[in-house]
Amino acid sequence: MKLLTITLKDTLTRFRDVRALLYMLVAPLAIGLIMGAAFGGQNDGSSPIYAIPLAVVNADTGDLGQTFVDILTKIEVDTAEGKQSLFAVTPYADAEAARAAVERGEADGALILPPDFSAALKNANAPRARLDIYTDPTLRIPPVIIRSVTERLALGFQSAALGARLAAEQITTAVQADPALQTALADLPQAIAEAEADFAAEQPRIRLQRQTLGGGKSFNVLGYFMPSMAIFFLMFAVFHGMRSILEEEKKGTLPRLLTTPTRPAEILAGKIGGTLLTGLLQMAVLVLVSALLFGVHWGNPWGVALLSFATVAGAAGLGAFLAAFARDDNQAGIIGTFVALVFGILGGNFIMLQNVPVWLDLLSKATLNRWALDGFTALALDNAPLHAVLPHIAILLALGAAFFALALLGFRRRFTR
Amino acid sequence: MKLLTITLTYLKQTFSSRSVLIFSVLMPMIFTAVLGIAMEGMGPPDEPPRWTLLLSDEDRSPQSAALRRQLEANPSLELVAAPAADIPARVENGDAPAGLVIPAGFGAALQHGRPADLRFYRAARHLLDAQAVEAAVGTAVGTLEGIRNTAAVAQRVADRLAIPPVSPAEAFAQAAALWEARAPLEIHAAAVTRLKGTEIPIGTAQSSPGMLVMFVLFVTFGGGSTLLVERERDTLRRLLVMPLGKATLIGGKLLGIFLSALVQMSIMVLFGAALGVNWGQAPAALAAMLLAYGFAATALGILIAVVARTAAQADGLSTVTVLVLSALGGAWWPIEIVPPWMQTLAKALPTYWGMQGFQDIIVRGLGLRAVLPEAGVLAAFGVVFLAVGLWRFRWE
Repeated sequence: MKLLTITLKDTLTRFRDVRALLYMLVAPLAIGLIMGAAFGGQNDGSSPIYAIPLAVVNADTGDLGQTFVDILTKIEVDTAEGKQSLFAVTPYADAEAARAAVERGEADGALILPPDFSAALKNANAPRARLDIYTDPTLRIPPVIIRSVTERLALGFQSAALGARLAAEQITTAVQADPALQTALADLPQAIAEAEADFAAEQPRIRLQRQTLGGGKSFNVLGYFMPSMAIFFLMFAVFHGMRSILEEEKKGTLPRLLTTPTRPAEILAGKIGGTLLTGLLQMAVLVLVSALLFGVHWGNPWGVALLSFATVAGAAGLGAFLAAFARDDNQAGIIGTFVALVFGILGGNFIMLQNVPVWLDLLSKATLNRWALDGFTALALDNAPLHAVLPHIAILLALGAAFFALALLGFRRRFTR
Repeated sequence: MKLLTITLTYLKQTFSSRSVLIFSVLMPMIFTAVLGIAMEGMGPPDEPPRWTLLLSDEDRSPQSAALRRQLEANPSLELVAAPAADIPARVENGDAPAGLVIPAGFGAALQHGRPADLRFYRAARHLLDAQAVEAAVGTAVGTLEGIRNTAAVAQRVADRLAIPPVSPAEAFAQAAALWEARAPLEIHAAAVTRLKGTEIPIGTAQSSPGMLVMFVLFVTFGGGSTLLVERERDTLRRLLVMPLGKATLIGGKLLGIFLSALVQMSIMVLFGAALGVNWGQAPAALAAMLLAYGFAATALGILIAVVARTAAQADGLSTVTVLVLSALGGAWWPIEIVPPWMQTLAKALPTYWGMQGFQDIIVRGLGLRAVLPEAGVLAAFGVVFLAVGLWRFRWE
């Protein structure tokens, strides 16, 4: 009965504290939403990047340069906002001005077509023409797209030019073998022009059949970021709950409580109960609010419930352990915040840890956050059934139990002092 | 003189606190390093970004071999052979952003002028990366198609002139040779940077300025909340009884917060430089940016002391505000990846201008003149925040 009283009192205190609510509920929802919005454009199977600002200098003295720029300007991609131009092309007078635009960040890249562009394509003996592409070094994706698309277009121009040359070579060889074919040489330019015209009207032969996997309506990036932020901020709340026992020690309310006919074990159990209940309520509110307001799909409800409990228990165990061996509540607060932040970054709560070195992955797996997050994302993103997350639940509970056992040793020393 | 005493007292109190050292020095270092690694920065610094492409060649024809060669030649791609049947599941699991299957019959179809299909799988979870891979695959496909088209044009000319044709296989080989030896165009691509050498560590070039921009706000917001602590403990009123003047009192405090921010940012710059970030090439530009960002951050710290009523409130509010400002301003991830409306929104935040200015220095390799607009915007933010903060601050 006393246990229940302490549990309820601690839980109510937390939920009446505006600052605690800011941490427990407002922060995870707000930051989870920002993360979802930041990465959200990537989840509907369309191309997330379009209207890439591109500075173009066409110094070509022939006519092919302008054709090249026209085609580049007309390329479209499917986006969440419908069909959009891939590039937003701005003409520039010279290479220096275009480079400067990239340097100032006004364009993601610049394309320079040289004066001999047409000549190199039309004349077999002309030297190679050099196209220059300049890209913004602060960007990762647009430079690759600018380079690849420009290259692909240049390849198209090149294949026509080389086709004519190959034809000329083959015919020369044929004529050498059979001089009777000599008459055909006179018609060669005409035949090449016709073949190129036919070829220009042709559709590309190689078709890339594209399929986006793991997408569709069920995939929502919030399914990653909401659990991430819930776990991250849960740590703070739960650590604070376990630390409150030290606060009571400092304020003298704990010794006073001990003079009443309440056993130390009851007090401790009540504190743990309050922390567990607070953590569970926090998770429940976050899950419900994010599901109802933002449409986050959390997955199998039993899995979510059990995993939430295991996460809260694991975090509470760790919090109790930190509190039991800290000098005072102040030190416990500093260490707790430190652990929560480091576990957050290592556990993947801020950034997905993929393709990282093995040592970092191992370090990540040493955190409660990682096991909890792996479990929640399996449920939310992969629609995993309950049994798939049982290992995660077991590990979290085992870690929690181990930390609690150690914490009890520490508290026993403290209370019997 | 009295102002300096207040400043020095503040600095002494701040830097003798173990928790300040842990949270404003050690913590940002850990975040910088882990985020840097996670954003694949710490590999060989001049290596371009590389993406894994799962590849299955079920065709094994000269055409598919030519396509494979083109893909292998692309430095952005790392090819990993996989059975065709496994590729969709592996892409779906997120093993790789994309996969490509060259089905049996691809080469024959191409040779006989029929449409030839390739199967390209991309992961919804890594769509940005997949878009980059797709562009790279497109280039390889474009080259292969170019070779085929070259052969086809020659074939057509031969047909028109009634010249005995060479075999399709030979025509393809000739065209491929021509492409390799006598291509009329060459493309050079380079990043526009004035850095000496090409060393731009992708991960830490984001995380080093990013964590600097974020964690200095904790320092200045903490400074702002010390004003509230002093008000709550009544020391502020006691100080005012002394012959000090409000201006000296607040001036000394502000200078202390500003200097502690500069110290903290300088440590972060040194740590970033140790990780290979090019912080050192334009000292004047760096100084201008640190002063301007430090000023804006300090003024923002005062503003928090105005918005919050108690120190406890300020602490809670600070954490949320710092995290939100950092995330929206591009301190956590490259701003290029967020939707256009979020990029526009970012421009209203000092964190965005801080990131832009610092990246001008460490990635674009620019000097003082180039960062003056960013520094100017930050200074303007600072003036506005400070004016509002001083106007609204309640002493009692």
